[in-house]
Amino acid sequence: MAGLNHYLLLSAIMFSMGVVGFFLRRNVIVILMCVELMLNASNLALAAFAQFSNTIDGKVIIFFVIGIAAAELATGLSIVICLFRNRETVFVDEMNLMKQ
Amino acid sequence: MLEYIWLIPALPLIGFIINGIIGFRIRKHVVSLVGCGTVFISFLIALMVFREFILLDPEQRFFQKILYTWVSSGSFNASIGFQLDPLSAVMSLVVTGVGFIIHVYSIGYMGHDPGYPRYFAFLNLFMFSMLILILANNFLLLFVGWEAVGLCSYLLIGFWYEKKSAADAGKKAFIVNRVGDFGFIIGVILIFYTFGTVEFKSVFEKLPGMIKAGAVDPFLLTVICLLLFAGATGKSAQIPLYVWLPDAMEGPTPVSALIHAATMVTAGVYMVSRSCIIFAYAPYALDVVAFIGALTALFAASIGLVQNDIKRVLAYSTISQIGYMFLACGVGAFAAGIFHLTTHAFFKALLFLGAGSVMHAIEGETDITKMGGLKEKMPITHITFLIGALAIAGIFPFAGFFSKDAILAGAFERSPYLWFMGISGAMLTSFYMFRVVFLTFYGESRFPHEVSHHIHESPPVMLIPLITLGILSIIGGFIGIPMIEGGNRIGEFLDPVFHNATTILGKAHHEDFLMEVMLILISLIIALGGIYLAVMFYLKKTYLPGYFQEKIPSAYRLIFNKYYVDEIYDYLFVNSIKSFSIWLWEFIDTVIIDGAVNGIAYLTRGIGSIMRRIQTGFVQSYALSIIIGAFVILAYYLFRIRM
Amino acid sequence: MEGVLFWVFGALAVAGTLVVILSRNPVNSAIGLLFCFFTTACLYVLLDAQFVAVIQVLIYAGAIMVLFLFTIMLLNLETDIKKEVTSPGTRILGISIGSGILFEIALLLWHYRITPFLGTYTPEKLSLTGNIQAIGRSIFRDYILPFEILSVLLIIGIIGAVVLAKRD
Repeated sequence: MAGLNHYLLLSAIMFSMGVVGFFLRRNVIVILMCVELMLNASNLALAAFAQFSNTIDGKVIIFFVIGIAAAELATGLSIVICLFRNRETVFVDEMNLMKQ
Repeated sequence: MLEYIWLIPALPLIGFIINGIIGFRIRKHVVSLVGCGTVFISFLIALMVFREFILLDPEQRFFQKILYTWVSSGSFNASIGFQLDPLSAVMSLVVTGVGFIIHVYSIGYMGHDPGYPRYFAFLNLFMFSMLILILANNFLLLFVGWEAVGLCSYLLIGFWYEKKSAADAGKKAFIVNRVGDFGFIIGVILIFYTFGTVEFKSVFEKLPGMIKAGAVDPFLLTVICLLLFAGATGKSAQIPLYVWLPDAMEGPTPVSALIHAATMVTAGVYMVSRSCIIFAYAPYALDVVAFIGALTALFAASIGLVQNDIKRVLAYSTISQIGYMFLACGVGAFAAGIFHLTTHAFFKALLFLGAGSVMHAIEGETDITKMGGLKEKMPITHITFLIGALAIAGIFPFAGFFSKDAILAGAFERSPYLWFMGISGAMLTSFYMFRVVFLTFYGESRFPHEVSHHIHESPPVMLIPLITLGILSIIGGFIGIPMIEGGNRIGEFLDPVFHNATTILGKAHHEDFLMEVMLILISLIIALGGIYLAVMFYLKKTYLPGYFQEKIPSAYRLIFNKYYVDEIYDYLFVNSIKSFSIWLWEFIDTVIIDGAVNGIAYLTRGIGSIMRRIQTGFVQSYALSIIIGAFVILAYYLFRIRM
Repeated sequence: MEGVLFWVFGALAVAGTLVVILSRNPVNSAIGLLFCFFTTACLYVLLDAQFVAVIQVLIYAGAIMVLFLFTIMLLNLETDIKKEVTSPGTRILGISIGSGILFEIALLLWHYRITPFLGTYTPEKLSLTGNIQAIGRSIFRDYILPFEILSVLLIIGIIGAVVLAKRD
């Protein structure tokens, strides 16, 4: 009963939630979580396509995406820790030295 | 030898290059040698060419040498070529001969001047330009020479450029010339438009045929002639563009002698004579030429009556005498005009060089009211100057007598009024000339004491040119003696050039012997009368000038101030152009152009300060731009699909 | 049955995302994200991608969320609602852009039934060999290069994390 379109719509909803959350929150860790949300949403779309087009490639790509997400997150969080050590803050609007 | 005609202008050019580039490094003797030597060799070549020329038949006296094609664009062709016919032969002899004499004189006169090499370089450049002008075979090359002599005139008038009056005089000369040249170049363009060529031979040969076929508008011809004459009034200092010549006396005296007496200022006469056939078909233009010539002759002579600067008197005298030459051309007596050009070159150069000799002896004083009694201390200068004065007054048998009479005879044939203007001018000429002679050389010495101690005759290098010119002023007239069998050589020689023009104008050789003798006698009496008056005013009853000055002060002031012409020009033209230029500067340059340039800078800065705000440092704004980009791309594809 | 399950799990996933973006406490957001991952794994199972679901739970929910929670604990943040939300301007922009994208995709999906090209891996064939073998075969045959690159990337991630986070 659930067709491809439904899965894609669901994926789109989750993705736009991630976008909204990205601009809504000031805490950098939460922002990273929203990035993970977006990645997750696209994973879902990939799986849906893999299922409904009888291919295996979508699932393989998910595999890779998850791997990349892990590496990226590890690095990102260590950067956050560094920043926290320097600035004593995790709020993005206080980290705007690049303006100068 | 004719093949080497191109050497005549080329040699002074080489002299200019040598003296111009390394002149300040070589010794003064070498500079003089190069400067005078090149002109001397040019003169010799001109002589040899002339000799070969007169061995030819009168019909064959025409030679062209084309060096190469200069402009060839579409239907317009102009080449660098030289043309030799009786007219240019005579002119080249006069220019190189008198030029050489003046070069030698300059060795003495400018001997102590620090700019000695520069002087000779410019003088050679002038000789080159003048010879190009004379020997050119087309209007364009003539114009090149025309402009170049104007340039040399500017360089040499403003030779002592640290002196403000000299620099200003140079500028004035060039600018006034430019006004005339503007008319001249339009005339040349119209000639090309009418005839399809600017080469003399082609134009002059085409013209009669075109007139017969009715292919050329007579009005257009008149316009062309008037435009050409406008250029001539500028270069040859006639009304209304004569105002630069008196100021040009700021230059060294040999320059005044060469350029502003003997050669450059006669370029206009040469050009009109060269184009005689065009003028012949435009009789209205010829009348204008004659009238302006006569008017200028009279007008300038009247100004010369009361000037106190010896060089100014001579300058106005030159303007007046060139007026006579144009008068001759205007009444169709072209040969007489060229004859007078030749004799004038002799005696006017003599007078200028004599004045220079006097100035050299008295530390540069030019005011004749401060001179006097020089005839004992400077005998040779005195004698030669007197010869020049007699020549210009037109006393038999000096040179000026024959040439001036030829002109007046031609004028009388055309119109008695013109003749009357000419004869009045002659009276004024002899009067003011002898006024100068008497005030300078005779009477009591009015010098300050220290100066009169040092007065001495000039060195031989200056005297020999004076003597040479004096001899030429005496015998020079004999080439044009009328009425005598075998006489009027110059008229016959020049006839092939002017033949067609004079036939068209219907000037037959007048055989009225009595009328000619009458005219000659009248002019002689008038000239002698002028001298007598001068003797009265300045030798015997010396109270007379002061008496007249008191009686008619306004008239005296008017003439003394040159009829306020300079002031009128200033008010009419100079000030209006100056204020226009200032307005241009203040408004267009400062506001518009600077505003535009500065405005662009402000705009860039403004946009920059706006764009700077993109660099916020906020992560979210950067991400925003990414997301907006994605949104826009998506929207675009949506539109593509839906539409 | 499947249809109902899809709706259930879908609603739960959306609820999880709402928790992530709206809670004031970052730990709450992390829990919400965890919940979202779990429901997504369930959705994967519905899509006949069991291996992917397991991987999701293991790595995402297991490792990544733990990492998040450790970091949050390490930073020892205070929770102040006033400071948790961005300025109104950014908020409006973000919400509008997010809803804009959603709107576009919804529009597309509303009008078109997307039918992709059909490949060879039918569900019957898949159930024959099993998911894991199929994916493994695909990775090590067709996608071997990305696989190697991914391993290099992971090493880089490790080194980067160590270098950045150590105290010097």
